[in-house]
Amino acid sequence: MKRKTLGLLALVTGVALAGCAGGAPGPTGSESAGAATGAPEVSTITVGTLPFANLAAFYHAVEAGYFTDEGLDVEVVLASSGPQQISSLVAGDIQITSSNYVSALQGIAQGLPLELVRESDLGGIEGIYTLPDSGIESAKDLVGRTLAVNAIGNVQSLTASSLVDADGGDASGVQFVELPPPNMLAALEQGQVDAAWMSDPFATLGMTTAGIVRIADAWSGPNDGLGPSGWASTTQFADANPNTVAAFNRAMDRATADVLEDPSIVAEVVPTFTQVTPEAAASLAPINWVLKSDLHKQLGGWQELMLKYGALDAEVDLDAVIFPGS
Amino acid sequence: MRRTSTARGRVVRGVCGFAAFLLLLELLPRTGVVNPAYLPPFSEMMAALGRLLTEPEFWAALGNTLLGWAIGLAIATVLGVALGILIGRIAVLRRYTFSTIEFLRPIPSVALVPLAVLIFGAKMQSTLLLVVYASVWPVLLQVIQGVRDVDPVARDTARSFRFSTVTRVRRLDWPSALPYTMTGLRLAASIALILEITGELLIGSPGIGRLIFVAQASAAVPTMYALVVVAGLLGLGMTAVFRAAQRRTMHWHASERREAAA
Repeated sequence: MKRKTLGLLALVTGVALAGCAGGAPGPTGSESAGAATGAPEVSTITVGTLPFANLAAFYHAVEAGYFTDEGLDVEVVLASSGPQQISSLVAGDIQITSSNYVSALQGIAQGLPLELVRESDLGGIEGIYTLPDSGIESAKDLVGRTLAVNAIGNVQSLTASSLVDADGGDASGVQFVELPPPNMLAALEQGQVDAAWMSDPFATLGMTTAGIVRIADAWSGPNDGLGPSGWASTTQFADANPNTVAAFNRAMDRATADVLEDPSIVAEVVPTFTQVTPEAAASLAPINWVLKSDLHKQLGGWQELMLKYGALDAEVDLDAVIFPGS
Repeated sequence: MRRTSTARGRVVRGVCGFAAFLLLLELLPRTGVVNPAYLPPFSEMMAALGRLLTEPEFWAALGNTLLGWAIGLAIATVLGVALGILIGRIAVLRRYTFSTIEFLRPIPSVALVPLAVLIFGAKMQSTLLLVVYASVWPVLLQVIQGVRDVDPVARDTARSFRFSTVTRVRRLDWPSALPYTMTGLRLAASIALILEITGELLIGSPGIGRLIFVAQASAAVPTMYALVVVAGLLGLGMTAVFRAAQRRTMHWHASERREAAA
């Protein structure tokens, strides 16, 4: 079944690519094609985003004109889920997208031609939250209790499992429940679940309105150094347009330095691409953006975790799926 | 004279009922019967709506939704009417297609989301596919019924006068199918709106549905409900427009005449 889907996908991709070939922007600065510091091969790229606060660095780069400075015209396509952005990426509708590492590695293991080009951030406030009277004080207390995650076998359940095991519990005893993140706070308050893996804006909202507490930092202990998401392209695009990808990364480096130095930029930018109010945006927890991307370390960590908890069957050749120097 | 007063009475009763509903919507969260964090009072929704009306993104999204709806409905109507007349007129075709139609029709459009995304990506076309798929059936089935409903005496007469096929379609099939088509169209219009917003919400193609998703992901609960209210108003407006159009185009038809005489 999976193979059939891939076959169809490949066919569709081929058709989509053939269809786009006529309209795709051609090389603009072929005379200056040197190392990855040369002018971008294409003048316009479409970038896929999601309405989450950790994309503030990217939106800041757009607004501050850092992509324009690199000779890149960036169009932004916001979608409602990561898997859809990966479909659009493979179909050639977008060239770079925000993606979590687990979905990207799973896609690669299934034969999708993805290439990771830059780290985004190491998260922030994410973690496992409960009501104060839940009797859950640390990760190991989750054994035998219900924990809400957005998807089983993805970032949230994997990091939770490793926290429970590292805390001396047995992660196989945790009852995971799949819930959309916007519903988690209500589910906690109504007692439908004992704990929830939450991120912003819901974590901050829950702490102020419902008094929920974080019993484990998602990125602590065994998960130290892991982050929720990075930037992905396709191998075809990255191979054919190394200068373009490098230009994207340089613009992101500049924007990342800005948002790390002046967090008020985040509060200004977030309301422009989400419906978070300016007041709520100002109270969001800080995000640990990555200034110097090290995808080998990042993906290596995720791969280890995924293999351990069965989210990946076999090792992926990481060198082949990481943009050089990222 | 009596007609206008009943009509007015109906409007008054409708408005009163709706006002009571809105009052309930305001009081339930205010009195704490439901948690205002998840169902804010109606006044807060309206305040959020007021904010939305000043944002260009909102108007762009509204435009996208209406455009997607209109294109989808137009395609579905043309497809439904053309196929309907063809299938309705030719008995053999009807016998061969009815099993396929009955198989395809109940497939929920939403189940096609993964397929649509695979073919078109997270774009307007994906949503359009869902809209067309869902709204073509009511038009098609109504037109088939309408064409089959041609008065047999009139049909035989036309045949004995050796009217051409074109004339027969124009003078017999189409007038007979028109009231059915209008009903089909009205059903299709609301189905198309539902699927347009569902598609935007699930796929992330631009429009009101995607704004609902973004508001939800941003924990902006009053804004989310404000957008839901907008979706409801769109549906209401659409029904009113189609009912008026039906009355105007079908003024000669018995169903409309009866209503007028009552």
